[in-house]
Amino acid sequence: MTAALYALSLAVLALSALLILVHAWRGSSVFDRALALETLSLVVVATLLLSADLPIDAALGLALFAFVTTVLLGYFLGQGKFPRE
Amino acid sequence: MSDAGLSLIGALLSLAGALFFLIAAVGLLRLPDLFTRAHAPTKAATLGMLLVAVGSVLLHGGGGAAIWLEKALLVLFVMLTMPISTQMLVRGAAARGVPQAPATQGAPISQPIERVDAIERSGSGRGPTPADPG
Repeated sequence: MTAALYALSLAVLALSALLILVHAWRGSSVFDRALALETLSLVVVATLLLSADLPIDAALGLALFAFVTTVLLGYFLGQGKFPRE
Repeated sequence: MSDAGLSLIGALLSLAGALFFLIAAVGLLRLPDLFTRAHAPTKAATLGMLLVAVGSVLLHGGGGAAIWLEKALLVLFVMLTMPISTQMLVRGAAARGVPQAPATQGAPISQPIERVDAIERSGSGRGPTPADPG
């Protein structure tokens, strides 16, 4: 029962990663693709969390990389300008 | 509670968190524009990450304070950074004039910069003014 639920949650994470990849492939703008890739990296972090011995370096590094990448993409794709600044 | 019972509860929590990630993915595919799509993975992924972390600790049989601390650190980092990064991304998209859904209500944010400044100066925006009571 427990093993089946564990496998089912891994399968649900894989399905959501697949749907996010579909959105990144279809994406209507480059911001959509950036958002989808950030969400995809968070799904990978959750999958690492579910593994039996957590590779904490890989999970923290991936979360940090997703954060920095999204902030820089938002800044430079917006040409360094924000609407209210 | 027995060890098997704790593992079962952990597996159920992990499944609930994974379903939150599925909600985030379906929201990305189904919502009408970027500004609504941005909120689905932010909310769903932070709550799903919390559920997956608690569930995985219970599922793999405790393991002492170090495991709790590592996973709590990871969840805290994600919950702090995910709203910030999505906010930066959406602000960049608004500055570039990414189209909004037609049903959007409220002050327009995907106008050029001068237009938004003019709206704020003339005071016809929908934001609260300093003299607004309450």
